[in-house]
Amino acid sequence: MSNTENTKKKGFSRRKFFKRTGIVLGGTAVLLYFGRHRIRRSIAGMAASMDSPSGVTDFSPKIWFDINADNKIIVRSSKEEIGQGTFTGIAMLVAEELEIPITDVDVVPGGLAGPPDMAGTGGSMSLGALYIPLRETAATMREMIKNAAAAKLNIDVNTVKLNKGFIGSGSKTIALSELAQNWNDWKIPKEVKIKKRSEFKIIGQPLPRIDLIPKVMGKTPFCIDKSMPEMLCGAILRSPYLEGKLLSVDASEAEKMKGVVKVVQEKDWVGVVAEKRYQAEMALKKLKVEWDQGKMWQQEELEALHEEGKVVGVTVQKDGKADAVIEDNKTNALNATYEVQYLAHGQMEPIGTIAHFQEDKIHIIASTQAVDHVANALKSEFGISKKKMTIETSFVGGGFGGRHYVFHLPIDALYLSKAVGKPVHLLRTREEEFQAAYVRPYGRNFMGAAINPETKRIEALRNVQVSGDMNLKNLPVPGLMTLLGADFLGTGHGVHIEYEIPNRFGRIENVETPVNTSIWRGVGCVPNGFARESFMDEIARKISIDPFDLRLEHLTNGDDIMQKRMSRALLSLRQESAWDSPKEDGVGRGMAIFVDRKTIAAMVAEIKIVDGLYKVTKVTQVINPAIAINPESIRKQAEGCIMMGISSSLTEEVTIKDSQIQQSNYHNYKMAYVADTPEIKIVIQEDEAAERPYGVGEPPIAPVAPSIGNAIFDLTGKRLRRLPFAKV
Amino acid sequence: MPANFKINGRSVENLDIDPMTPLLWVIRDELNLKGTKYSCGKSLCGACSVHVDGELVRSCSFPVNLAEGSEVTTIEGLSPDEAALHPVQQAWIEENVLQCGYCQPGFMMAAAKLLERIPNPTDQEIKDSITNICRCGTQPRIIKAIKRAAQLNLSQETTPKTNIR
Ligand code: FES
Ligand code: FES
Repeated sequence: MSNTENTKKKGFSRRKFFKRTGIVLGGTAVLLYFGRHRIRRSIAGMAASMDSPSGVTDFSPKIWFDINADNKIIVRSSKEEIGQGTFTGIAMLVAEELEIPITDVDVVPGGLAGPPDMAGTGGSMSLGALYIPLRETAATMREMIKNAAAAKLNIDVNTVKLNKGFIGSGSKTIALSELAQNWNDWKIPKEVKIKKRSEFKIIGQPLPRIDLIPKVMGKTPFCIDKSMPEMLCGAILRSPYLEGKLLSVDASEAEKMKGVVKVVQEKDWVGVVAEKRYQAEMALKKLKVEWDQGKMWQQEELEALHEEGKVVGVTVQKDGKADAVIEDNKTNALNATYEVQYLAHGQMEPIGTIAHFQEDKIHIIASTQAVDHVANALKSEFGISKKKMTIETSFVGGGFGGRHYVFHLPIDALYLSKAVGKPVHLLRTREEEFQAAYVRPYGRNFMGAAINPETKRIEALRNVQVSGDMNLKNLPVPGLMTLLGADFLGTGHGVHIEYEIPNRFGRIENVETPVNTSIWRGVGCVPNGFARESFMDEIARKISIDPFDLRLEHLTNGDDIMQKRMSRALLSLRQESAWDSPKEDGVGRGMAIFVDRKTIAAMVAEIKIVDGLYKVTKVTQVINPAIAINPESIRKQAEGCIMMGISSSLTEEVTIKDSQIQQSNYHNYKMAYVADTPEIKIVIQEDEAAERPYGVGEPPIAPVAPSIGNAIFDLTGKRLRRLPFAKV
Repeated sequence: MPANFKINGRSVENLDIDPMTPLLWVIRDELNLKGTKYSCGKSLCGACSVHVDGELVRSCSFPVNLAEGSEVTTIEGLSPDEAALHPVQQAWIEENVLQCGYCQPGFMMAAAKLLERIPNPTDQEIKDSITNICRCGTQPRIIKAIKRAAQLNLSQETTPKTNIR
C-alpha cells in the first residue's frame, strides 16, 4: 500500500466525484455515488497484496451516501450483513471521519446497482478493504458539507460542526437535507486528510451492533421475510443423486391438491407453485418423480480419489529440498496423513429467493453473499441486461460461504414466476438445504518432516494437500482449473508454512469429484491448520519438547515480521492460558497457531471425556488482526469461530451413500448446542505500526481443530488424524 | 373449519385455513408477523418458538387447530414496546448477543419460559434447558444474557409483565 493514513491525499477531482461516477437526485434524497475509480484502485492494490479467497482481483465496492429527509446519513453497502457485524464496522468508519456520533449513521443493504463487486461478501475482508477508501470518502464528504454550510451561513468553516443532522456553528445551523438541495454547487476539496490512529474517537471502541435493537425486537426483515404483491409460494426438488437426472414426473395427484397453482418441470428440477407455503410443501411430497440415478458413488470411493500425485497441482512453496531430506533421514523422519470430512454450512436461514419475471424485466429479492454473481448468472440464463434487473438484498441469516455459489435458486425462482405470471417466494426446505448442498470438500494432507534429534530443530517440513475444489468449478468462467492448476485461494489457502525451516515444501492438488463443493468458513485454513498444527504436535512429542517451545524455536531466527507477530501471540497465549500450570485430573491440554490472511489466531483448548464423549471445557484464544476496529465485534467473531470449530471438529459430517447425501436435517447433522459451550477467554493483540486491519471473521477457526486434537492426545495418548473426532 | 385464537393480545377470528397448517406459517404468512422464523421445520432447532397458553411451542410442528381458542405470544408480543422491554430482550441488548440474529427470537422465547420455571438458573441448568440451535455461535453470550435477565427480573420483581403469563 502506497497510501498511508497520515499522508495528505489528493482529493477527488470534481469530474471524478460528480460526473464520471454519476449522481442521482431522487425525491428528497441526494444520492451520491462516490469515487468508483479511486476506490477500485486501492482495492485492487489490496487484493493483489493479499489472498483474495474468491480469486477475483477486479472488484470495486459500491458505497453510497444518502442524505434523507430526516437528516440521517444512510450508507448503502454492497457488502452484506450476514451476522459478522460489517454494517456496524462501516458505520464506525464513516462516523469517525464525518465526526458525528455513530447513531447518526445508518447502513442498509445496497442490492444491485452501480459497478460490480465481484468479491461478494466473504474472505473476512470487507472492513479491511474498506478501511482507507471509505474513510477517505467520508472525509471528503465532511469537507464538502462543511464548506457548503460555511458559505451558505456565512460563517468561518473552522467553526462548523455536524451534529444530529444539522450543520453550522452555535445558533446558525442548517438541516443537512436542506443543504443537500444545492449539492450541485458543492466544492470538492483539493486535499482531504484522514485521521491518524491516535486521533480516533470511534474506531477502536467496543461498540454494540447497530442492528441490535431491531433484531432483538424481531423486526429486522431477512430476505425470506420480504414479499411482493400477489406473491405465491414455491418449492422445488432437485436430484438427490450426485449425478442424477430428471426422467419423468407424475404430477397428477399434486395438481389436484387444494391451492396448487402449477407444477413446473424444468431440465433438472421439478417445482410446485401454490397459494400457501404449506400447500406447496405438501404437494411437493405428492409428486412421483423418476430419476436416472447415474453412477452409484459411495463414500469410500470418493475418498479414494484423493491420492497424492494423480493430478497436475501447484507447488506454492519450495525452499531447499524437503522431500529429499525427509527421504534421506529415515530414522529421524515422521510421516502422517490427515483427513477432513465433507461439511455442510447449516446456516439457520434457508436460502430463498423472491422473484418476479415480467416480459423484459426481472425483479428479485435474494439472500446471497455475492449479488453480482447472481446478476451475471441471470444475464446469461435469460439474456436480460443488468439495466433491466432489480436485485434487492436484505439482512442475511448466516452465510459461512454457503450462499456464495448458489446461483441456481434465483434462476429457478424466476422460472417458477414465469410459469405462473406472478411473483413467487421460493424457499428451500431444510431437507433440500442439506441434500442439494454445496459442501466443504473432503481432503487429505500428506505431511512429512525430518528432525535433528540433537539440535531439536526441524530440518524439513512438507504439506501436500489433496482436496476437492472450493472455487474454480463454481465461478462463471469455464476452464479456470486448467488455467490456474489449483484452487490456491480456496482449499489451498494455508498450505504455506511460516516456520523458519531450511527445507519447506507446500503443494496443492485438486481432484475432480462428482460432489458439489464450495467455500466454507476459513476455507483452506481449516484442513491445513488441522494437518500442520497437529503434525507440529506430533513432532514436539517425538523429540520431547514443549509444543510452545517447538514453535517459538522455529520463529526466532530471522527478522520476518510475521514470525515476530506469531511469537508475540504465542507468548501471550502461554501466559493467558496458564499453559505451564498443573492440570486437573482428566483434563487434556493442546495448542495451535495459524495465520489466515495475515491475521494470527492462536489457541489453547482444554478437554475432558464426559459420558464417553470428548468435551471442550475451556478455550483461550489470542487473535491479532493488526488493528481492532471494534474489539467487541472481534470477540464475537472469535466466539462464533470457536463454537463452529468445536462443532465441526467433534460431530459434524456429511457422508455419501449410494450417491446421496445421507444427512437431511439437524438430527443427523449434529451442530453445537448451548450445552457444548466451553469457558472462553479471548485476548486481542494489535500492531502499533499497522496501517490497516486484517480480517477477523474466519481466522479464529483455523487453530480450533488442531488444538482440540492435540488436547485429546495429551489426555489419551491417541493421535486422531481424521475429523470429526466423534466418539472416544 | 375456520381458526379462532388470540395473538399478542389481538383476536384472530374465522381465519380460513387448512387446520393442519403449521402455526408457524399462519403466524408468518397469514398474520404477517415475521419475527418467528423457519429453519428446520421438524422441531429440531427452536427458531420458530412461540408461547401458546403459556407453554413453549415449536410452531413449525404445531398445527394451527391445536391453538384453537388459545393465546399465542410471539417475539413481537414479548414486550409491550421498546420503552418497556422484557428483561430477556433487555439483557440480550446489554450482552450484545446476536450475530445474524435469525435464531434469536426463538432463543429469547425459550429463555423467557426458562426464567419462569427457574428464576435464577445456573450455567448447567441453562445448558440442560435451552436446546435451540445457533450457527453463528452466540451460545456463550446466550448463557450470559439469560443470567443477566434473571438478575433484571429479580431486581424488578414488583413490576408485573403485562402480556406474559
Ligand atoms: S423451525 Fe421449528 S424447530 Fe426448527
Ligand atoms: S445469530 Fe445467527 S444463527 Fe444464531
